[in-house]
Amino acid sequence: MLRVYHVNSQVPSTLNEQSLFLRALEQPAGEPRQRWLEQACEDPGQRTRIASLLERHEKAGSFLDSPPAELLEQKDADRSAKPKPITKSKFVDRLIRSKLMTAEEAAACDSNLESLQAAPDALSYAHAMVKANKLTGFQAKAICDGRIKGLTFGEYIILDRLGKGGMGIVYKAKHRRMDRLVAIKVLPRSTMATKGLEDRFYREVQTAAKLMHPNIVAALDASEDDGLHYLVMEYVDGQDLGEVLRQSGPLQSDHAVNCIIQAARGLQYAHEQGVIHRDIKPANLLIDGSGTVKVLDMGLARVTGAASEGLDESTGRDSSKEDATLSWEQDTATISDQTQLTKAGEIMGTLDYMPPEQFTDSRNVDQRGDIYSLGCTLFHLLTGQKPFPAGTVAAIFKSHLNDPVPTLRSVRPDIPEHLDRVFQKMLTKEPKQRQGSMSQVIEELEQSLAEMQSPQTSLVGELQNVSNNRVLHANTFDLASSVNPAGSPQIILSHDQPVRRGRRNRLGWIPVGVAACSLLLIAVLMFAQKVGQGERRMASSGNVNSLKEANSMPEGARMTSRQHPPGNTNGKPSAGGADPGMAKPENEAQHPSDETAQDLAMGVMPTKSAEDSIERDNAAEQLNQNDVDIDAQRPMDWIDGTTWASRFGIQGGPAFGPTGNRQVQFIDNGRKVSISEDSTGITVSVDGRVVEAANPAELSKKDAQAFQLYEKVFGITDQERAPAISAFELQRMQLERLRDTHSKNPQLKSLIESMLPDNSK
Amino acid sequence: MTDVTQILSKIEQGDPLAAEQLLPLVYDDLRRLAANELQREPAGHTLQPTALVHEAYLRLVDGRAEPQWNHRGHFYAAAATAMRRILVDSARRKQTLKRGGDRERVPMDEDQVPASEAHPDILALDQALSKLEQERPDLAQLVSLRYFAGLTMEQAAKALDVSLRTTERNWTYVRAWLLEVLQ
Repeated sequence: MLRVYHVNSQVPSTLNEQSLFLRALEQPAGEPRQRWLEQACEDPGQRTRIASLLERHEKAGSFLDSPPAELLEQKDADRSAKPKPITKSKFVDRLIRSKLMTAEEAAACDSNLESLQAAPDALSYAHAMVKANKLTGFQAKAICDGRIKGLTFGEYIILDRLGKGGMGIVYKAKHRRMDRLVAIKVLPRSTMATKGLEDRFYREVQTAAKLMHPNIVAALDASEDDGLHYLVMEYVDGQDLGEVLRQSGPLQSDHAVNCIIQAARGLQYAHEQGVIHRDIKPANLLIDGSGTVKVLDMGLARVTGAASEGLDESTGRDSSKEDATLSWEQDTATISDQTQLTKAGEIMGTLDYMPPEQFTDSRNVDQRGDIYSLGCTLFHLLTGQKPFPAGTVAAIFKSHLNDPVPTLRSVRPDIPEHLDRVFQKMLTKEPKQRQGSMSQVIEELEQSLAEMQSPQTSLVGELQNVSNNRVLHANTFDLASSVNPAGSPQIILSHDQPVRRGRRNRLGWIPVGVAACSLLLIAVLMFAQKVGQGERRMASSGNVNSLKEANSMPEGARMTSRQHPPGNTNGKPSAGGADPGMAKPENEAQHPSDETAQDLAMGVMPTKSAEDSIERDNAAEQLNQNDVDIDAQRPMDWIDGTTWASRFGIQGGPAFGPTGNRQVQFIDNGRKVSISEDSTGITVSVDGRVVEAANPAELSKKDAQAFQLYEKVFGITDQERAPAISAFELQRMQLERLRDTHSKNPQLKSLIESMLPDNSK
Repeated sequence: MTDVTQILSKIEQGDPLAAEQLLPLVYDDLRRLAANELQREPAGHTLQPTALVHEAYLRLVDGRAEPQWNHRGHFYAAAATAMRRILVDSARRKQTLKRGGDRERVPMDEDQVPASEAHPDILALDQALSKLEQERPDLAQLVSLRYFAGLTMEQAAKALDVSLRTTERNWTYVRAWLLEVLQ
């Protein structure tokens, strides 16, 4: 029986719609079909309907031919009668075609791994491969999806996708033979199709390749594979600072300054080589697990001097009208929809940090342009905002050209004035009035950093200094009786999270303990200051009790200064025994040898002399007399749980490294020393230069050896370091000092006294 | 023998209740597979329904039992229905979450440039299929098997127990029919 299927036809017909439609299709297209239809369908409505269906059929294309989102398998699905999406052999075939493995390697894999043989289908096969570390998840997925092109570039094997960079997609990759991890930036195919761009790309790459500096992401290789051009760069295991800002907001001030100083070192080097970056922004600064900052895309924007003219010639552009960077990006952006480089977005991202002279005459942009951009970046890192957050392109242009530069302190009052001045100078509209060179920027920023970490700025600073740089010293303490780090500081401030995560071994405890003491002392100080102003709060009273308890912490640090040669060592071997001479600041100034004994024992004293101590005391005194509200200067949340360690000069540390790496940084004789330990071993660097890297087999996780290494580097012997005093005593001395500093304020004095151990009252 | 194999055998033997038992089993397994798949993958990943259906088959149907095509046919019929449900649910969720649910995420491949009109809006298709089901359940089933379970023409013909030629003619017609409805 025939059933009639029609939607619009009003008259039923003898032939159903499907039959009519199919019969019509059998007729030759065009006139004959038309005539047939007129004969077959008397009903004009049905005729129209069939004609419409026929038209749909002609235009159906691949409609419903492949399952949803299953585009990749359509060829196989049509051809093969097998139900599996891909077979194991197909998977292996693709694997080999992708060049991730040779046929032999794949075969060896297959015969060596039982899990592979047991895998029932390609999917399980792929999973087994990933489990056996033969493929990364990314690779397995790509092969399953049929995306086998671009999994290898020359000798490089793509491991994972890292993200989208300035000019293309960036992948994590490994050199097949050298096993070295790299980042590969693959340029969109269309980019290179544009005449001149290829030449230009390779010229810029050549410039970039000449730049080798610890603070620059090195360009290692560039080549072409199957029409795709790619740039191989040093792989940095970390984040860019733009991401850091997005994830955790503004940085601690000294951390931010430290980052900028490191970037400035890289830029200083590049400038010396005649290369200007011209696109400095947080997203172009990478920070790795050990806190090293590296400038990305160095040398890829523009080459100074004669080379730049060559570049401009090569593209036939009038460089007086158009910025080379912009033109490059525009070229890339307009021709490449694939990478979704939106022209506006890309320029906008750059505009926020762009020096005013770059808007007007790009040829005049020199290293001082980078100084401006770096200043804008510093502002962003410290405040979480762009210096000129105007909405439109025109408004940003105008702001950079005319608007007064915002002060850092207007957003963050805790920023020292000196740093603000350095920042303001970096953002001066007139390039001539900026710092003349990156080295000058570095110098000024280092002053700021030293000031931030020195005691002269405030009492809080003084206490920071107490704990600053005492890490190595602490290793002679009785660590078995370490205070529970999750305990005491938690009572004062709830930011104890990083401490809890700490690895519980010797070196691990030291910064924790030191930091805990510091935190404690700072809290005491803040509290004391409050009390001094008569602002007693209930919450604070609670703190006093906890501080009392915490006072028995056996571990910590001390504030001293170095002056005398090693012969004068005369330290305190154990906890408890109070030395009245050390308790009073005036004594410290007049008889520095007592203090110095400890200093020398540790060999990690700051260079500040005893005079500094006096100054410190004076500063502290002054602060007290002026009744400065420390809380107002440095809000409580300034002691951020995740980064406060850096404030004490202990950056990273067992509890704080994002990748579990440990790092200790301190100043020694004006040199920045960093000892870090990660899976590759222990690295000691001085002023950013690696002094010695130790083989993990020799030194792995043995802290004593790390110290020996340090001693080797600095020539300090055990004897010189030996007489150490306990943290308990250090803390007592600090409190006594504090008490004496505040001797004119009876309320404050009695409060501090109440925290002192009985025997020193 | 697995549950599903047993059920399939029952269906073979003409047990009318067995088919009803099959769908929820297949549906649950597919959904779990899909969820796992999505969890393993970063954002932006698109379901690969066919792969899921085949994986479900391998997991649910006892491989040692001699694979009878009828077995598979019933299984795929259930799987296609289940997959259609999953995809429709997913599309609805996407739409409510305003994730741009009206557009498909198409994997990039240098080799295969997807035809622009290959994939209709899944929700509209679902509605159209519901309408078709009332008039021609066989055609609706064919679309399900081809589109949601990823069966080839031959496989679909076997599953529906009709000749390949009829299946092809039906397919030609139903595509035009659906395109007409979807406009």
